[in-house]
Amino acid sequence: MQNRSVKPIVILFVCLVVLSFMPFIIDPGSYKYLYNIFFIVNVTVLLATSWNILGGFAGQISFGHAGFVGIGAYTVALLHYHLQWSPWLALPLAGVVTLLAAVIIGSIAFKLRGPYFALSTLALAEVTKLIAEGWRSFTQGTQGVVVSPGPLLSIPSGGALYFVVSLWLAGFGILCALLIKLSKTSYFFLAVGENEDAALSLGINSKKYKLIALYISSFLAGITGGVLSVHTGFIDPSSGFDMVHTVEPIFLTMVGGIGTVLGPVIGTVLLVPVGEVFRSHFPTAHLLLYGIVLVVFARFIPKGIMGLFRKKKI
Amino acid sequence: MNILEIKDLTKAFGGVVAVSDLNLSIREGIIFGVVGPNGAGKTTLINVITGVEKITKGSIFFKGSDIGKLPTFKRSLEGITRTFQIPQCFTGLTVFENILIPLLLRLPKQEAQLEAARIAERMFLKDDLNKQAQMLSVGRLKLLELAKAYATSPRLLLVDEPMGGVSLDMMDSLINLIKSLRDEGITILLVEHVMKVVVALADELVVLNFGKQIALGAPQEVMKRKEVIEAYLGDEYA
Amino acid sequence: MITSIIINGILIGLIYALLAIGLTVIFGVMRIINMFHGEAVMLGMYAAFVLFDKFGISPYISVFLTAPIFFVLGSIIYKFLIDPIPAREREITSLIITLGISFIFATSAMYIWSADYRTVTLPFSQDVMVFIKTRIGYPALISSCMSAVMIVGFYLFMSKTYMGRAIRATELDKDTASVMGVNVKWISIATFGIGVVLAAMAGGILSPIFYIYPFVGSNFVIKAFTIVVLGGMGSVTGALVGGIILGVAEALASTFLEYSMKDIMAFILFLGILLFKPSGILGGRTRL
Repeated sequence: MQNRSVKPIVILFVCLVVLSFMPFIIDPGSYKYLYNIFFIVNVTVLLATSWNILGGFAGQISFGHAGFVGIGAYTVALLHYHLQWSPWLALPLAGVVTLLAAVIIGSIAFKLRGPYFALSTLALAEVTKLIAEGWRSFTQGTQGVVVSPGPLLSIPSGGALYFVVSLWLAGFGILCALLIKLSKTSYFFLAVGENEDAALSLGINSKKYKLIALYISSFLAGITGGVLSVHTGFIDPSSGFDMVHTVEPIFLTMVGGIGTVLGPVIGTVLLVPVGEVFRSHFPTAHLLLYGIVLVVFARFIPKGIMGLFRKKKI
Repeated sequence: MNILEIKDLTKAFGGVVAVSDLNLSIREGIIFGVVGPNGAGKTTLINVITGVEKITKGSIFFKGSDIGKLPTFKRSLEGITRTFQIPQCFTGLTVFENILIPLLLRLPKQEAQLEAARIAERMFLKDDLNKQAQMLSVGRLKLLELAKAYATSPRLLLVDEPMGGVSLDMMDSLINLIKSLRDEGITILLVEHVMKVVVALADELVVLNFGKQIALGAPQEVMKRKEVIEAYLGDEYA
Repeated sequence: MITSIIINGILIGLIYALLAIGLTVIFGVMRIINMFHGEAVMLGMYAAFVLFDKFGISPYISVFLTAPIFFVLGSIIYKFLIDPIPAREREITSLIITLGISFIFATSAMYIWSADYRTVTLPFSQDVMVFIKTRIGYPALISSCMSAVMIVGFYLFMSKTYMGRAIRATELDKDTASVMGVNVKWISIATFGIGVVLAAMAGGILSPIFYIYPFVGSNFVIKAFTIVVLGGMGSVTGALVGGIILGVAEALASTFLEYSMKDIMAFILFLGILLFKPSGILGGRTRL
């Protein structure tokens, strides 16, 4: 029993260590575009995993991940801009501040059941975006905020550093998902997502589990936003609160396999590189592609790629 | 000793009174039948006892303490669990997982797994253990519904229409099963409209009509009363 | 001053109400949140724009010409993409599918009509009438009146016709309705079609007074959700009340607060109502 839970964690750790050596094999200096895609893949794994913990594990569909990402991104940017914090140092706070926003939205949205949660998260994303646009003295409005990340522990900022940091953050996200999946909590998440009335009648405090899922998810999404703003070096309302951050994790999770630990990872690794190439040749066409693939998968292959291969979870 | 005491209980939905000034005492260890025509307030009574619906007026005492304000899940942890008329299973999960979930809340993982297998056997679900709940027939779903509720180790089990849509063979085994649960010491509140079943099972019976209690006592005797026959068949048969 | 703000708020509120009715009807009958409702509005706007631009047909007439097309579109989407989903997965899967459809529509509109802002400029677009010291633009006045007429028409349809009653019966209790001889499956398909038509008609009616661009739908969808939650999910009367409240709230906010606060009002109302009166201001009592 113990062995079974330790094994996937060890495998994850070994993968992360091995991948960390990538910059020694492929030179980040000469393959800038490639490392840019690596970074986007890592960050998107983190975001899709975050969405999946809430939407897949606990059955609470979020349409507000763009809001969580935006809050995280602005936390880093504004701490840097107003208080001259190092963006790296502000990164954990991006998660914490986003979690605080989730505490507020959770206390409102989970008073009711059904589709209210999805709509409330959508409202949160839009409200925070409008605040970022409107509160100019604090956020610079549509002008945006510049973030200039210095070195991290004397490692100069650049392709290699972003790759390794984003890799381990993605690893952290996967670890969170894995720990949930291996614990009793995953069953209570499932129960609440499947049938809340039944869960309640059996003694499961459904609100508590929905909130736990929301908190973990928002924290990870906030970190995603933070690291995005460090990498881009600039954040404005339309990039920080981009609807793509809401749709992409849903899309990738659905394709990979909703409710599984590996689903969002597989979906991201397979599709984001394709999407990036596609995007650079046909701007905004990837949205059309997302829409079509999303509908096809949700309707005809609801268990995603993972469902085609395996019956069991993880 | 009474496990459940209901005092002056009223439940109204807007202007419609579903349960009206009801007083009930349920002795520990019996099967307590609740019957009445459609709309008599039977399911509402279960909903109010489990906390799915809020009380409009009155109070409910479980093992001597007032539980009227506790949320549903806490009442379940205290020992009050229900089954649903339309089975509410975790349809995407296996039978085993369905039974396991309430056990995980109460036991360490390994013990819970052993216990889930034991309960499945006891509830005649051993062969379906790895089937998805959505694959089960109505009768088997009713069994699973009971198995899940049993897995919460209830002191008071509220069973809502267990025989609805169930074949005759299955009905007999369900009757025996419910009896055996009582013999184990679980108090059972049984809502059922198949009269044969209620009379066979119940130690004590209450008849509701339009949310009011119209008769209370031993099943055989209660069913002969004039007001009960009237409620069921209309005045002209009385 | 304050009366003129309120009058303008009510006028726009009537259009908002029409905007929300399609959403609330679909939710009421099928318990589905249609995420591409806003895109249906957007398509209605472009349909009105194209017919006006190419053939000079007034949007107030063309909405009736295009209605059958939108009905078929909505029905097909429901029949083939949503109806086949097993009931227990429908709530979540339908959210995701309709979200996907919203992206397909918005992006397609982008390819067909580009990201440019379009307008429908009617001959009387600049004309203004004065009513109790309130300046009201003719297009806004006509659009509002037409919305009001359509809301009343829809109310009568729901309360007087067989189809409307069948829809309401399905809304109340599917099983009983089906026992009473209502073909629940076809009613659901038709209701979805009607919901999409109402959205598209609202779009057409809005086209003379709003900018038209591919991603305009997301503005309307939040407003529509807010109205539906304000008025109580599934209620036509509620949508009317909710629409007027939102219209007046926005008018007040844009006058007395910063103009950008106007768009936040919908969200504030939305979260506020969830916090304090989740069953809607009418308390979920109305059935129509």
